[in-house]
Amino acid sequence: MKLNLKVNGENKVFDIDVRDTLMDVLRANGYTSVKHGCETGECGACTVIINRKTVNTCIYPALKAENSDVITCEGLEKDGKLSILQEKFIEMGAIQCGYCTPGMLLSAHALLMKNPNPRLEDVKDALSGNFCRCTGYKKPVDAVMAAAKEMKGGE
Amino acid sequence: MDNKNDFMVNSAEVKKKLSEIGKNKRKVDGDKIARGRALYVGDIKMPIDKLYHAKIMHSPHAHAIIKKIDASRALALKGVVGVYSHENIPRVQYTTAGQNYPEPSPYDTVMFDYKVRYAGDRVCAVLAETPELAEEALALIKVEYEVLPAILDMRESIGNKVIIHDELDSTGILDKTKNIAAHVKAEVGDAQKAFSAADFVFENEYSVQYVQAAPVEPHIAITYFDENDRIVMYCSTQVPFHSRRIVARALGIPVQKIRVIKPRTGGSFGVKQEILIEDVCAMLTHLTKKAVKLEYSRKEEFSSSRTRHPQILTIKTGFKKDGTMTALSMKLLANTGAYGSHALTVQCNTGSKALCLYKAPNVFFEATIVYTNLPVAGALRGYGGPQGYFALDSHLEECAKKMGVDSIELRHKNQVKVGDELPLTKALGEGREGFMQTLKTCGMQECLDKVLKDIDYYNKKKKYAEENKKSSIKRGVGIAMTMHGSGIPGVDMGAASIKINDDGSFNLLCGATDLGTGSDTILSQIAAEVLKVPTSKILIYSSDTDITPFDVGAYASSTTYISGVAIAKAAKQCLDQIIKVGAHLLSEKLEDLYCENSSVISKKTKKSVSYTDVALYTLYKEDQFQIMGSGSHITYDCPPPFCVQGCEVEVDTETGKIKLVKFSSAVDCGLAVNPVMAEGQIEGGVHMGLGYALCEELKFDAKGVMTNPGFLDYKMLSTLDMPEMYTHIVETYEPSGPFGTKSVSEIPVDGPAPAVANAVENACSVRIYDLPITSEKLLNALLEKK
Amino acid sequence: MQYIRELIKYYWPESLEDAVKMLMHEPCAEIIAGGTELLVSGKRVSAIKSLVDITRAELSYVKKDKKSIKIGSTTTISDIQHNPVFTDFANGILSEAARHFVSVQIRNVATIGGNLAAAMPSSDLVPVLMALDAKLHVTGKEKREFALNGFFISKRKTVMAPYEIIGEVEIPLPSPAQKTGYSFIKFGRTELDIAIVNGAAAIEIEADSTIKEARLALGSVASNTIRCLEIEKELAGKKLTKEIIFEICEGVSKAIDPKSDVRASAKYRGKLAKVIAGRLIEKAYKNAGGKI
Repeated sequence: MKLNLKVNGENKVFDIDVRDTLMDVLRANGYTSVKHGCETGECGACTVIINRKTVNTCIYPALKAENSDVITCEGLEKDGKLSILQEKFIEMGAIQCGYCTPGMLLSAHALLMKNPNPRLEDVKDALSGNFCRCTGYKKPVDAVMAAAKEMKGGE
Repeated sequence: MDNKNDFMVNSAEVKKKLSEIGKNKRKVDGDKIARGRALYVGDIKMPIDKLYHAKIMHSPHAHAIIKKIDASRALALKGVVGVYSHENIPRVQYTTAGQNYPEPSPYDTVMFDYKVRYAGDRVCAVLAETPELAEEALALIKVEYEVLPAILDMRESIGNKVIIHDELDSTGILDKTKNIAAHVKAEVGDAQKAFSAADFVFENEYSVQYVQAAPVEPHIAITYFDENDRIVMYCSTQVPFHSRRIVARALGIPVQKIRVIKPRTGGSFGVKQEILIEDVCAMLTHLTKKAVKLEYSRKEEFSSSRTRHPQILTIKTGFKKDGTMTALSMKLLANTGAYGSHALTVQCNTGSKALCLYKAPNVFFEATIVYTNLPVAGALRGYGGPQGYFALDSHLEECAKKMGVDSIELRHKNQVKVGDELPLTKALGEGREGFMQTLKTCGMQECLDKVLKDIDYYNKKKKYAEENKKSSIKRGVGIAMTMHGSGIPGVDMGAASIKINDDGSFNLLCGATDLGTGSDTILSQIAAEVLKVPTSKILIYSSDTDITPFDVGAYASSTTYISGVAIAKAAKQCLDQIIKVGAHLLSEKLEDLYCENSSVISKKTKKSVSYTDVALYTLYKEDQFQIMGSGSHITYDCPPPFCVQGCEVEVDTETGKIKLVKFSSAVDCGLAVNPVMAEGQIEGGVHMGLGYALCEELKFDAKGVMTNPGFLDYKMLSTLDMPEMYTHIVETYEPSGPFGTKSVSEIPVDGPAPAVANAVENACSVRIYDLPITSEKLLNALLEKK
Repeated sequence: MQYIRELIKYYWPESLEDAVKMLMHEPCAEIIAGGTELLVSGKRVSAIKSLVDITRAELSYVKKDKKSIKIGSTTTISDIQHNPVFTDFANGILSEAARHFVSVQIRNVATIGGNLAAAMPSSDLVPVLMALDAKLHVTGKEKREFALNGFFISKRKTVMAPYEIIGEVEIPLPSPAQKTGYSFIKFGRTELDIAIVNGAAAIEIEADSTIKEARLALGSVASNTIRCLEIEKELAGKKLTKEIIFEICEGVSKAIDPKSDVRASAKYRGKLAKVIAGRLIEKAYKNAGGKI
């Protein structure tokens, strides 16, 4: 059967099985930034933004996303240029193995879309569902705060 | 500057002149990761027509004989290719430990055995067209077991009438009849005598638990036959070369018939220093000629992978009245689980990493490692260090309290200093005799100064001692001081080769394995510094057994320290060739030239020729040859990094809850090739160490079945639980490391547990001797004290 | 991975009544809201052939009038956390409970109705809703109303009949003259872990700080969340001191029946429950304006 939705601004029609999760569908169609970390929505490696909110796609039936507006990590850059958030992650050492990075970037992106002026607690809360074993979370949190500041036009 | 190996010379003055090293160069794979385009094993489109999926059936019993496997209903399912077990897989004994050959771990594992030795052990495997079909098939397989009594407590292993490894064909087990996988003893001087003569003698027992590395990417492997009829294996591994060798053994095929590629790893931390699923995946391809994917679920990643060795340690110290340590003894019992992977070596490391920090003239170390019918312990970041230091550092804090002296001074006064020999390093190698180490660099004092300042240790201690009297919420501070190693002396080897391209860029090929640790970037920086080019001119490709030279793999904190020198040697060979050609092109003498910023420059005339010119000349124009270099490195040195960690906690004495307020780490890692990446390693290690201290623990029911194999129930600290963190890099200039480096990746895990235990004790005068320090344990101890 | 292996059809009913009809007439049908409980429930999903997704059936809303706040059952936990209606309402305990829920990703899809229907004794929302004296409007063969106290039979079991779906949660508003204070505490191994003990309290006091009425709900210490009715009776008519609170909370052990699990032992839960209950009472009392 068919699934109609928007992915990274483009209208898409995917051939799916009614039993597929959104993670199955996205990965099968080339969006490999959506990662398998667990099967129970606990690690956040499969995070994707649906209608401006982050969701764990490993436990999200694909059909639930019918007519939704989906953003994956592949959609964060504009015309090949990295976003400020992506740049900060690279510059500030917030990336190590990178497996949790797409999910974290999307959680941060969703936060900044809603709240361009987050407090430290807001950033920690936003990233609390993205499990990372490499960084201890300090640099990713710092990178999001720095990105928010720069996006507001701070020095 | 001595041209021969100036990449081994460093000092503060030299560092100032470095252009690539000591700088936060952009992570070479950072862009593609941030763009979501980095390809891990599960993301790569393989050059195959159809991929089949394997699933493993795991034992529900801790100890049982497999009497019968009825796979008929599974085999009848359309799309199921086969079911594999001891009935149709050749029996070959090997170790799953990714270690140097001959591996110091026993050969006590076969791919599929007629016996299961822990709940989670392999029973059989299914190959099918989809993962769902494979799961369905597994559910249709009926297995009849003869359940055997199980040993679920390491204290009951020796002398138990249950023998876990009663098979005849396993080798390297110290004493099968007593369930002893390994045993090691090392002595310096006469500790027994020294204890009798000491003014103070203290003895305590500590114990540490089973924990999981929990990398975000579960184990995964894909194998297929290429057009040359060789097995190509893509896997998430720390040890591609050991994997190739061990898989060849398991399959009974020559090494040259296998190619192993590690494209990227989503975290490993030791749990992928193992041939965990690669053997099964490759075997299925070998038998069926089909492309096979085997991917662990998160539950399997918890229950059927590798863990940290639980230990029970007894520490005994003897002191003179003035606080001089005269005798130090550590005796430990370790649980290696059902198989002996890393059994001897982790525990040797517990002894050598912890005990070598102190220069007691009389030292005794003994470790007995036993089998149990519980999950297999293996390599995990720190490799014995976290266990040893929880015990030793907690113990020293307690000794100081009992003697009424400052615990930091007690430690510091008895620690080794530059110029000291570390006698235990000779007695305790990696399963064989080691090599005597002499300390050449030690930044412990500077580390201490920074951490004491961050947590305002002495002032807070005084302040809280007063305030705590009036409140049920009590605050405390604690310190831990640790030392680790850099590589395995005389054992670890890394190699690399480099060649120049038309445009003055270089292809760097090395076996060294980047796990997300950033070694691709670090090694590129080293090559760039030696070649005198920007790091962006280095194109690194690593961890492919066909293309890259050998490397033992990423473990033992060896990559920067050992593989780094191999890269530097290869780069130096290239550089020498470039200068020679430059001399020819500029008609100058070698000694009148130097290299800088991708050019060969004359000191006299300032005329220069670019590397591009040199490359085009040598590749196309005249006396053509390929400018290239290669290098290998092995060393008998193992310079320790040093670390001080400090913690402030808040204890709610009515509930036992411990809140982490502040945590500071200072690490002397020699020189930091890339400071922001080194900090990242420290902060990640701290997260792991704090989890070890407070909440991580694998739990089992009365039948030995894991009760918390998932993220919901096995708790790790989240963003909201981490304290305010301070991270410092203290630089010393180690003469045996490339540009003065030592290592940084494991040591930060060694100290958080004792730092927290010491802070908790300072806050509420209760010491917990077994990890993790849960609120329940603490409340019980507080109530008992009342 | 495909978890619901027998699934054939996925429905989007446009109203609660349509959803009930589908549940009754489609083969092996189950409703799904956020799906965060359903897709991880393993064996329970193996027979499902039809999924009835109620998140587009106009059940996501928060309406406040003079009498009550009505929350549609598919309102997400995230909506509750951020909805300004709840920021200050009842000393913010509902948004605080929402804030401690698992993770942002889960909060964005998990629903209040789903959380109630899952009937887990560790739910953070249930004690809060009990303290707020919430009632549930349920639609099945007919429309029914349930008080939260008594809605849960045991772990994963409610009094709802098959084909009944929670449509709305209604929280009565106290009259402006009332002096009521509220509190919520969640105690876990980490900030977002499933609770070892959680609870909520609502205490209404008279002008002279005597307690008029108290509600105390404790979670994770019995087969489902409980109201501590005996404790509530004892609190009525009292002016609180630390000693009185301590004494009254000794009676908590009679109200609870904690179990041991990977998080904590029954014994520890028992000890904690007394401390948590005491803190809940003290905090709610102080929030009402009472002085200790």
